[in-house]
Amino acid sequence: MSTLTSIDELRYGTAVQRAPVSEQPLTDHALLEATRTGDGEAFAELVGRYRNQITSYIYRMTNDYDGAVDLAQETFVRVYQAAERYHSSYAFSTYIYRIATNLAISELRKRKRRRLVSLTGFFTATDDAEAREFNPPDARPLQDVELVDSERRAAVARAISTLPEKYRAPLVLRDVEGKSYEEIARILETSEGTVKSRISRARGFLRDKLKTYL
Amino acid sequence: MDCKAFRTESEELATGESLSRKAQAHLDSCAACRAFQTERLSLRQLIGSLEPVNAPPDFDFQLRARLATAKSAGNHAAHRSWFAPSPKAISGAVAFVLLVMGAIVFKNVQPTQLGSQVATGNSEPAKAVIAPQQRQADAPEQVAVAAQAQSVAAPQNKPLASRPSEVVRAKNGTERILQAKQTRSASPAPSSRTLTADLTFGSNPPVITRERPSATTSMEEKDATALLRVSSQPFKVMLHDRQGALRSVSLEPVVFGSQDFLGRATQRHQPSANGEGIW
Repeated sequence: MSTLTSIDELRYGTAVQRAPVSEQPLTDHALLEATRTGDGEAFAELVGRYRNQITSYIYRMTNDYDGAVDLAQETFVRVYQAAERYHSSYAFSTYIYRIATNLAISELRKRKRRRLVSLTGFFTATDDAEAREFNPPDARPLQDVELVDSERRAAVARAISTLPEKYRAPLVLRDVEGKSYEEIARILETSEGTVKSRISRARGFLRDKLKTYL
Repeated sequence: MDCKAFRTESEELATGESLSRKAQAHLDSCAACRAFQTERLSLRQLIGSLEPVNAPPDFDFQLRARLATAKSAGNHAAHRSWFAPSPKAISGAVAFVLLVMGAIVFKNVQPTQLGSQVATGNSEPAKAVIAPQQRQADAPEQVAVAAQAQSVAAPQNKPLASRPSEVVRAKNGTERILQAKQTRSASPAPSSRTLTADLTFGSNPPVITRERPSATTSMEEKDATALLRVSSQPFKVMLHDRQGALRSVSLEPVVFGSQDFLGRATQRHQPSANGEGIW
């Protein structure tokens, strides 16, 4: 005895042919093309593919979760509004990461203008000068390994957030997001050589800040 | 392979990739590069240990609301842009308003300046008249009054008394009272200046001569007033000094209603000491 899977089978019998389900998922370009024509589901699919990546990337750039969610939504709003002007010369991921990067850098510059100092942060964010440590890490042995890992991750995140923005974006894209140099260069609209040198410089900064954890 | 080339390759190596054979050989022989490699791998592992952050569950819902808001805002913006004037039009309107305001201000300021120039005696013609007088401190000034546009005859100089007797009445029996007032500029007054006023009426013009006060006279005291009785016909006042400067002023007769107030022979107006009561 076969199992009924739809109301049509109950009405017309199991002989009703099921619609073939496409095995190949639509590409990002195809989804954006569908979005252009007003297909809301296609845009929802795009959002589902990239919402976590973009949120995580912006969070690593800004070290502020609520702000990262807000900027991630703004990124998708801009993608939706600019769908008509989108050119598929590059990968869609490059396009959306570029928008996210620009929004994140813009937010960082706004913060710099406001000169907000976090009471919980222990680094200051300066562009070219070396970051100053407010609260050096506690050298006492910690009791719980999980707590140690958590504290270390928090220290790394804060250390990244103190990097100058021109070093921060390529480092996050390379070492956190795992993008290739070529794609990073496209996202940041610069040359691969510049990307490589900035990443190397950023690692040098981080090495000095995270000496106690290495 | 040298250390620089090794470190470059090590930096560019993706996570999980292995070194080339040459780089591996250099790594085996160079302790500094081994330390560098260990440190960089540790750092990359540390950075890679950061857990990915997920979007909140209501991300899609919030995004839909935001898109709806952006759409409505875009429609409002489109309506605004449809009815809003262009920047060129705004700048043109602003320029027009500024032009009109400038013209109004200029019109209002110009008479005030002229008035102040007359009040202070700083106008250009006054300077032209006064300048020769300043050159010759002792040069007397003549005031000639020619009734009914007659030419000035030979003056009969008569000395005037000092103030308040600066106001002198003519002796030829005319019935009109005339005040000729002259205001000087604020330039320093030369000492012992003599003012001569020639009043000519027909063939027998009255002459007013006023001796100026001493050098201690203030600027305000330099007004010369000539009080004349003339007929009710129009007449002309001609002011000239010995430097050749000549000014002519036409005066209309004054009539108060139907009454020829000034024409009555019996009515004489006695001016006060400060000149009040004289028109």
